[in-house]
Amino acid sequence: MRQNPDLILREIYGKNILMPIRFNEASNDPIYFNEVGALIWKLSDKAKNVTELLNLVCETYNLKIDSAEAVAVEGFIDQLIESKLIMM
Amino acid sequence: MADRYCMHNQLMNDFIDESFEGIRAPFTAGFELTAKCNLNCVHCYAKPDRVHQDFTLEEFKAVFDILTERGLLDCYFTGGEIFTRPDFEDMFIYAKKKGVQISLLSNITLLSQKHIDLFKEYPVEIISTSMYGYSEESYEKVTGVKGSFRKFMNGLELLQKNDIKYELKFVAMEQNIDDLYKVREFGNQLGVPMVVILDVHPMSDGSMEPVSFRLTPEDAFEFDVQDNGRNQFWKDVARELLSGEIELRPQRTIQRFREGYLYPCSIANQHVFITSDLKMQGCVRASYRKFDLRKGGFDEGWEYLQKEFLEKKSSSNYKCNSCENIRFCEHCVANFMLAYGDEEKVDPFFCRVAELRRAFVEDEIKRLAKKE
Ligand SMILES: C[S@@+](CC[C@H](N)C(=O)[O-])C[C@H]1O[C@@H](n2cnc3c(N)ncnc32)[C@H](O)[C@@H]1O
Ligand code: SF4
Ligand code: SF4
Repeated sequence: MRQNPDLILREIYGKNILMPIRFNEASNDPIYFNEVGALIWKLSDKAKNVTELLNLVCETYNLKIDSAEAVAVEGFIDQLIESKLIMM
Repeated sequence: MADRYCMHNQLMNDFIDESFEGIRAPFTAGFELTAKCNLNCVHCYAKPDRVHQDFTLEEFKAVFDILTERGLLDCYFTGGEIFTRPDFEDMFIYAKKKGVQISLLSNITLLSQKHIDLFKEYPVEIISTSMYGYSEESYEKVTGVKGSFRKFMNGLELLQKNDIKYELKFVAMEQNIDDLYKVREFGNQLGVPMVVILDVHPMSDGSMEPVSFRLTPEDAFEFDVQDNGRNQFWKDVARELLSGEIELRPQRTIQRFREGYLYPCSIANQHVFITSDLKMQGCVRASYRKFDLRKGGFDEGWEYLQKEFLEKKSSSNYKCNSCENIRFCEHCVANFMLAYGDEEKVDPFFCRVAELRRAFVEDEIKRLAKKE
């Protein structure tokens, strides 16, 4: 998996903002991430697929893979893929 | 765990206000790429700086790097004329790749298809351009260059045709005052945002020539009455004052004044301006106190500017401090300093405009109270 190269994550005083660089299909406006969004973005470059990405996030937060929170994280990941912010 | 991973389309300024309150860092900045220009406007504050040894691309990159490290999110490039720099494109792309939002201030007379192609690939936040007159004659009376009106109109057509976001600015002066409402109407028809500047300020070296072209306070106030948007703005202020939604003296400003500070604005708080000879100013106008980035580092300069502006206290008889008309006033300490060499010497132009606005708002309050 990989991050959409047309956007860049800015981490400023504890806030996370995804800023567009080139004109792209995913977003041409800044996206204000919360901590989980930013973590998914950062880890997406390291993971091979959604399962691995989900595992990495769950490890960071000490979440059981079948917990409600993990299901929510998976939902986030799907949204990011669907909106083409991260790519398969 | 938060239930949303992001929020779309929140305006950057609101985001900065909400997220970084109390943090002193350069979240926004202005960069003067050069003070040199292909036009020669009668009022131009940057004229004394045309002799600057402009920063190189490498110098630009170095200062941009440090600003982004310190939090820069939103900036504007201005001039002189930005498109006279052969390395404009390099600077623009470099800044975009750092994840910073960029607006451009330009007279657009040198704008070409090559720039449009660049902005299609790397979107610009907004191009803020100045329309100095509605006709060739009045426009060129301001810019001093024959043929510039036609080039400006060509630039405008390029922006319009290619759907590049832009706004029109009009600097109202005795040379072009007859065109004010025509340009306003022109902007309305194009459906673009319009900014009308009524307070022409001194040049960067304090020369008062531009101010001699300024409208009278009465003519400046006339725009508040005649312009639908401005008129409505002051009517809304009247309504909010009557209902108690807002107080006569704006809280943020008053708090700064109560603590004895001279500058009530955001100068050197979350904003910085970099001149074309690589000096740091608190804002574009405050050219009387600078820190030379060719001699020292950003952090040292930032500290210096905070001491000189943000933390500067006023004397006990500073008139604006206790002024009851401040809500109606666009007073600027930097203007006072440039004009008189004294940050506390108020320019009566601002007082008179504020007085007229207040009378207008009070009349409106009376009218509303009667209706109730
Ligand atoms: C210095 S110019 C640079 C951008 C571009 N060359 C232009 O004219 O739009 C930026 C803006 O400042 C305005 N300006 C210049 N001198 C001024 C002054 N003395 N008082 C108020 N505005 C001024 C210009 O009219 C323009 O709208
Ligand atoms: S176009 Fe802008 S920079 Fe050039 S002379 Fe006019 S105001 Fe100054
Ligand atoms: S410039 Fe005049 S009207 Fe404006 S705040 Fe100062 S004293 Fe009041």
